[in-house]
Amino acid sequence: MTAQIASRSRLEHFPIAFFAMVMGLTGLTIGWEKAQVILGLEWPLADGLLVFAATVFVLLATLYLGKLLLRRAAVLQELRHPIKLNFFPTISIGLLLLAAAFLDRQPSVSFALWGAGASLHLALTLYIMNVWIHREHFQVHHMNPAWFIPVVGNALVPIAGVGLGFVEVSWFFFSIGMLFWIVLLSIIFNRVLFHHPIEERLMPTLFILIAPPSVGFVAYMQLVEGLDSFARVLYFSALFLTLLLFTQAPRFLRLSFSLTWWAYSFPLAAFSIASLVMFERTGVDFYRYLGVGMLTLLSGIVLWLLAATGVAVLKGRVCLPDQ
Amino acid sequence: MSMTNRPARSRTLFAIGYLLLTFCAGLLLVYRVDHGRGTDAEPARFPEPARPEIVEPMAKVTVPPAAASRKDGGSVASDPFGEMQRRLQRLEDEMASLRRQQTASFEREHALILEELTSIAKAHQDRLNRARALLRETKDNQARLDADLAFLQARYTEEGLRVSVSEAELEAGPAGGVSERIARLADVLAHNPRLRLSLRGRVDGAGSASGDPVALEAAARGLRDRLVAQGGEADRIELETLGEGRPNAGDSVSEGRARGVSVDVYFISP
Repeated sequence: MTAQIASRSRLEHFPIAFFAMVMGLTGLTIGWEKAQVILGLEWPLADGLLVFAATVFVLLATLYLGKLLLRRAAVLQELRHPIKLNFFPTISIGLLLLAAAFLDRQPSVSFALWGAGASLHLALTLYIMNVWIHREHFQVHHMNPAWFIPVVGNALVPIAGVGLGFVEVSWFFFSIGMLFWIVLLSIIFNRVLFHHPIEERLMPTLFILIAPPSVGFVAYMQLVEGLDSFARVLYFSALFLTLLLFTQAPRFLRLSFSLTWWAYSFPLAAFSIASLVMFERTGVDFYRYLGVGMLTLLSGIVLWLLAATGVAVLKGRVCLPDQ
Repeated sequence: MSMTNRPARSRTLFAIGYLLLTFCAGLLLVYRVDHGRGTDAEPARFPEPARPEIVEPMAKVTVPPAAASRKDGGSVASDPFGEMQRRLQRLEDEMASLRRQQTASFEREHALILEELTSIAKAHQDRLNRARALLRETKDNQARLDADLAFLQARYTEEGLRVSVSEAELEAGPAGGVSERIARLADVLAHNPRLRLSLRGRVDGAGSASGDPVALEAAARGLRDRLVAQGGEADRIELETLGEGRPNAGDSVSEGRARGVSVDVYFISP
């Protein structure tokens, strides 16, 4: 009985941020798939990763659905939370990334995932922006890089959308992503430079800054034929932000593990894929080495994160009230 | 540096080392892939930029040739050169097939165009032959008309082309038929369907009994009857009476008196 109550209590505090795992794992899958194609490798790695990412997504979705059914108030509380709110689009982003991963394997599955992901993401973006506009109690310290998550998701839509034939819809989402990336980037720098430092456990979310230009670059390459000036601006912005954040590595590594560490994974996957796409477009070997190097680095980080998450779950350090 | 910071510092250094190691593993992987393949590696390494999608619509997400061959069940990693050769052979076969199709299509088009041009040329030749025949016929008609008019001793007057038929010719011809000039006049009328004749009786000299207009009209009608009997159409022959005292423009008065009543035939062109 006590165990059942404890289990229900943990379900109540099952955080929406868990879905960031799916983003990282699916990003890693897509990255390895592209790398295998470029390197001409016949490893079953990408297929295995896809199965694992899809399984994790189904598992997390089931748990969160259970939370929605059994602890509706807790879900609503997360929806009203100024920071946790921004993690809800990780669900739709997970769907969009899975759609991209399934695109060449099962186009019909990809279409279903993409349709569900794009629709859900549009609804969540509208809801979150409404909250941003109409909530009165937002303060500067509530602003953190997690606010980029809804924005990044919009830029992800063209990656599978163009392949599925929805070019205009893809442009629509891409435009939203690029517009609000610039807006939020200004706000986040204002907050970082002139206000209180970002809360320690949210520090890894700074890596999300890499995601919009990286994802934007990959999406833009789907939408246009050639590598133009705007594409280069996007890629090199991503490269600079990656360099900037890697110079902060010792600070990040001193932090204690929390679920927000999964925020390292997807932006690095996005930058790795962007570098491989840059190689495809230019033929410059530097991008291939950089892309594959970032991918193996990300693989190491994901292994670490999986191990740390497993240990945290086993030791009961996740699904706690203060997360 | 305190003792408590040492584990944290070690942990950070370990983490940095781990990250560097994983990054370098990627660089090493690329290096090994490149150098493990020898010279055959180059084509598979760099998929052509902005390659048009020819595999399938769903391959819009850039799928380099290596990926396409992977879907076909080929083994790029094990035999990239062989795979490239097979793809090249397939492409050459496709090009040869396309060339054959284009040649056949061109030949079909060529035959159609030739047939059409022949038809047009034949139509033109027919029209030309018809025009030539018409011209020849017109010339023949003109020559015959000229001969007929010469035989009929036609004269150009202010009132038009005129042929005079004398009283003697009106009365009888050889063997009880019509005179040769009247027969020739009927022949001209038959060969020129648009030609009309106007017959006008005329008194050759003053004091003649035939100065009666009734007699003049009877002479003209007599000529018309003869022409109709020779095959002329009555509605193309008009009768006109001028009355007495009008001299024959071409003959002298003495001749006219001597010859009595005659009929002037005027040619009316349409």
